[in-house]
Amino acid sequence: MRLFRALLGVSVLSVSLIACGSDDDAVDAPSTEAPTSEAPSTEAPSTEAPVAGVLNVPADYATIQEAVDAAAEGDLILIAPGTYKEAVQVTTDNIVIRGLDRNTVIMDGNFELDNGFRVVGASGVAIENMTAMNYTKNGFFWTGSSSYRGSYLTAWRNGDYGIYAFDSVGGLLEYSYAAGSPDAGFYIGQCFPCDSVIRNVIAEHNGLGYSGTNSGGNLVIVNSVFRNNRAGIVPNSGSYELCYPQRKTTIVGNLVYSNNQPDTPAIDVAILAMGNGILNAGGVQNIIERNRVWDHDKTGIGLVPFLEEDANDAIPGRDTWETDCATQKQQMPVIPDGPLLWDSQDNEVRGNVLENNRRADIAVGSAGSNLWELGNCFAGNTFTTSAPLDLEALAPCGSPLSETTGDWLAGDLNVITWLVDAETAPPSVDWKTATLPELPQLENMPDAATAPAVPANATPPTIDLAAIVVPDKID
Amino acid sequence: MGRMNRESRNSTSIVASFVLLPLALMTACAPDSPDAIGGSKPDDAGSAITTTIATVPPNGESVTVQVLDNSYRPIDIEIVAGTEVVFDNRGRNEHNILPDSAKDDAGLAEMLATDSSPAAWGVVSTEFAPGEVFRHVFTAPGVYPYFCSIHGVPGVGMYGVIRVD
Repeated sequence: MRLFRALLGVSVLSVSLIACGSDDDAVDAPSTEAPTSEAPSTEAPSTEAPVAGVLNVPADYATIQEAVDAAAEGDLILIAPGTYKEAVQVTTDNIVIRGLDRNTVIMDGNFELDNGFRVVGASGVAIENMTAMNYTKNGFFWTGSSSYRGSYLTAWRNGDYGIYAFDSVGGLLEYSYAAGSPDAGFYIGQCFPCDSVIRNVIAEHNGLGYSGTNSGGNLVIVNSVFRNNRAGIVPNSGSYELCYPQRKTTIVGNLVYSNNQPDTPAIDVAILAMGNGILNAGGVQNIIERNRVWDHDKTGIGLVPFLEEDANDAIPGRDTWETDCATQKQQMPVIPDGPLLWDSQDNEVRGNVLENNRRADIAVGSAGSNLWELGNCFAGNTFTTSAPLDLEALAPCGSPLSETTGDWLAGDLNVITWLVDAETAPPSVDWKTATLPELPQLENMPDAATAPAVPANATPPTIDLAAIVVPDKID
Repeated sequence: MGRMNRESRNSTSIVASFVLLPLALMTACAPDSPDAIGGSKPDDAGSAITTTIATVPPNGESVTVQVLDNSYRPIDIEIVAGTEVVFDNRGRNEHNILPDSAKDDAGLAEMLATDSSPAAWGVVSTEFAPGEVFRHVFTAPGVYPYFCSIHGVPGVGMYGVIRVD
């Protein structure tokens, strides 16, 4: 809890991330209260007449699923405090599902149920102000949505992702927390343009704090904290999902630190990426700017290739990077004979503040390509070490890069050794039993009982990126 | 049919079971429409329909459907009866392949145990890990919609359709 108290006063990160409880307030891992189909114990069931468009659980409907199934577009489902052992599926557009108290409305998968919430093909669904834990797959999951929002959510100890948006666009994930997932705490994948925002979130003790495979295009990740994961922020490309390559994600104003955590659950890629703050793994045309990044065993900000064996299609050329995801889905693949190397290309790394990243504060590497032909640039960063040496002189932004701008081999990054490192890295810990920070008491959404229902908007908020400064450390 | 037809991608064992496929007429259990097999729509009368569907032997043809995270590619294929479809899990996550009439892995397992009609086919997630292949010969004409219950529902998310002429 000290870490959360420490967030107080961090203006850049917004007060909404701030914990509001004391150690004594912490909720232990909920035990077994109510079976899946039973109404949970509640504090104060409503005795008032039902309000049109408001479906109360359990006062009006014994389970959340029953309320969701009964809801019409525009309805608000209000969930009273209690432990709900349900895996809720949502297929109705434009409904809002809200817990009355983020810390005591708890969805508990009991290590048996798959997703706390799974929104399939429905758009405009907003989920607010609750906790999902102990699910074998994901805490909160949207797929095939043209607009979605998750606000004031806590995902804790789930078996795949914490908060997961796949093949969905028009998203907003905000004021949320994810810990204890072997894949990513937060994930947005397979969308271009995504038109989505992640802001004011915390990810810790996951395999990856954030992962975004083949996502981008008006996708911004701002004012958030990624710490004590195996690796922090990892946009990545691969043909095991559609809409490759990963591209055009903007990462600004985040605190990224100490992502060397050895005792998390972790998928293989997280073990491979371990010890890196912001690791761009085969992503292109991303902007990484004004983040504070420190205390990593490998790189603070690393632009590296992603090696994909058993690839499913050839790597698309630069001339196709503007092709939208819907169009790409219709294209037939050409399965390559051998593995693919997704190089990081045309990324800009500017104005970040880095320290104590043991291999290098800023780095770019490949496994055979000429670095000067990849188009990545670095400018205005505060750093001590780089790989290759003197990287900002070698690869300045705004100037053509060439072999003759300097010695690209001096102190260069040998990413091949990472494959060897992964063999001896601490293995994944069972997500069911991994040691995690105590389930934090986090701020509730304002006026949860009375705030009107606002379904997700396909146009997420516009972020004033220019106004974001490098955040101060919080501990 | 097809229940044991999975393998690691590099394995060469298979198909022997297909020589035992019934060559004569088979009885289908309640197809949802004259074309859809394994679909989820109830029939108009709400009662079971017994339909006789002609099946044909394997024809030696084979087509592949890539199983990615989280989609089938191509989503929609058309084949002639007797063609083998090879579902190749080339993703990094577990998936399953369920006819639309099966709700989940357990539902498919029950279906495969109790239903010998062409509508009963598919593979549960525990038998279809990344790198594994599932093969099935579609011997009866019809439309076979399917989905992954982990990443979709019928017709939404991770789903596909096999049209057998």
